[in-house]
Amino acid sequence: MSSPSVNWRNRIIRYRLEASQCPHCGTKHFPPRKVCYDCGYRHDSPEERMALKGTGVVLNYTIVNEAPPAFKLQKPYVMALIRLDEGLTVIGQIVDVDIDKIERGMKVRAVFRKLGEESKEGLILYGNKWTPI
Amino acid sequence: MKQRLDPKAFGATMGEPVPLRRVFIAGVGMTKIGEHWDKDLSDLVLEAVVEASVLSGIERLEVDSFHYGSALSQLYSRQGNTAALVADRLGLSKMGIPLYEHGGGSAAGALALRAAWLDVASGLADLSVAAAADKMTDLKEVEHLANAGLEMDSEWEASFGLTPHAAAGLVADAYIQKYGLTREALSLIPSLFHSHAALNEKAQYQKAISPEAVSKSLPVALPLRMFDCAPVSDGAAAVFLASEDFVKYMTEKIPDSTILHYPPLELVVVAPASQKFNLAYRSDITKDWATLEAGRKSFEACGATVDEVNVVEVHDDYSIYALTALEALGFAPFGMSWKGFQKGLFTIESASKGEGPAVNTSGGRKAQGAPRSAIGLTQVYEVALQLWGLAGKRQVKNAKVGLCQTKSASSALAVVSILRSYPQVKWPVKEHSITKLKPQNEPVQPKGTDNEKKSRQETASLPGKESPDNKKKKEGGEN
Repeated sequence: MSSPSVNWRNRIIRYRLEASQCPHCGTKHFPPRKVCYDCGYRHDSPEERMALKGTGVVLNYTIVNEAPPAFKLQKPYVMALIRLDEGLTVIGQIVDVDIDKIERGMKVRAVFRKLGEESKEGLILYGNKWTPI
Repeated sequence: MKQRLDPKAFGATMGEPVPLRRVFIAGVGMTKIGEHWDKDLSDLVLEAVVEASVLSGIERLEVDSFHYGSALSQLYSRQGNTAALVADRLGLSKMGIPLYEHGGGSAAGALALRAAWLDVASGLADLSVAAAADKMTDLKEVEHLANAGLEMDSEWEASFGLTPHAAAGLVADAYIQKYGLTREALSLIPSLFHSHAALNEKAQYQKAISPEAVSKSLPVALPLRMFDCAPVSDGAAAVFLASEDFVKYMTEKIPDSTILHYPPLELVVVAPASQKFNLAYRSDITKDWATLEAGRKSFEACGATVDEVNVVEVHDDYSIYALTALEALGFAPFGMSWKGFQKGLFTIESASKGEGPAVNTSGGRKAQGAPRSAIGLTQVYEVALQLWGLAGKRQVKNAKVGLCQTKSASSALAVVSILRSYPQVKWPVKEHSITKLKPQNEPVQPKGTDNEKKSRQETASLPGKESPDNKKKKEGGEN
């Protein structure tokens, strides 16, 4: 997580919220994959990536109180499985929400945020989080 | 040697089936689980291996191969190449025997067991040692938190803030939504396991706790609370596996071996299986497909049924996973296992009456402790004690068949092993004197003939055609 190259190579997928779609069976994956988990078809050309609209509903959520250092300042924070309008599920953090008001089925949209900061000298990571519509 | 296990159950469908030898437990050892600040990693392994060796009377010269489970010793002990180091400290380095180090997250010990089992079953070794240890308390709490996501997808789960706590919290939330599990019902599980650990002098927490205490403990990843989660532990365990020929040798050369006074104990099968790694990829996170598949394989391979099992050790690093594991293994229908706990099933008392298995008689990962790599072997230790009738106050009456389920963080990888004791049989074990596990009239259905497999390989690479393999997977559910 603290490596600059990791964040550099994932920047486009993370910042633009890109998913892959299997040209064989049509299954959509986020994070994008080079081998489909359903049919095993290999598809590694970046053209087969699709940008996600970034809207969906909360399937399940958990309120995290024991946080890694990068998320220490944000705790308690909400992690959720989000079913996107495109039909695939992603994992993400729900922000700008009263923790008591969060519920399953809540509509959310992606927002570009700072993901976390491991230490004062550490890298600052950016990516998508989710906020209620 | 007659063939007993069906290799087809493991996926091999081509050519003549290779006969597998029977594998017997020739020694088990385990340290007390807890905080061992005065001992290093190899001290712990040594303690476990010496216990097993004292029990069996087996000496180092007799070891043919050594399998070491090492989940994260690079992190916990700043030590790589651990198998070679530990083998050296055990005095095995001079023997020139093969050494293997097995990863696989928390399932490392169980994978070491599988490899050792395979070594003996295949005939490559007569005595193989599986050992595993972790010294988790060498790490500060903040380092544990920083590295919590190591068994998750670090780039696509942990970096978004998903820890194993949070993953288990999501599974619990989905389970509550789908099956109506209540907080009170979930709290019964850690409470039951603690009551078992109170009878286990090697457990980390030998104290019973009330379900109310679980419900009121600090939040970790709501709906899960602190007493739903396994602790950070140090500990090691070792299992010696022997072939029938070696057992015969033991009766002749080591007649005063303690283990020969116990009923013969067979490690019938060890089967690993996997499922989709990321939580987001899975269509139903309340179903543990890896455990389901590993359980199916192991039951199918040895012909045993769920009803025969008396003792079960499940990997309950979070209380919710005890439920998903029991359901995946078939001890309760999906969504019903928590009602079993409510009715007083899965306890030592109910199992002694013959009403289903006793679950986590050791105290489970929650109360016995969870030294990551060693988990799979600590489970075998407990099941061995139960099947030998040595479990003392927590003994399940007439326990003959035991099952262990071990998994990595959010169950991307699971290992199921089945043990069986033969109280009526005297050492040395002879083939004819043991009741067959697999009934002759119920042959295992092969997964596919040679021709089918070949055509499967041909069609698998062609887009547009649905291969029989995929079809089967869709019918059989997700994996």
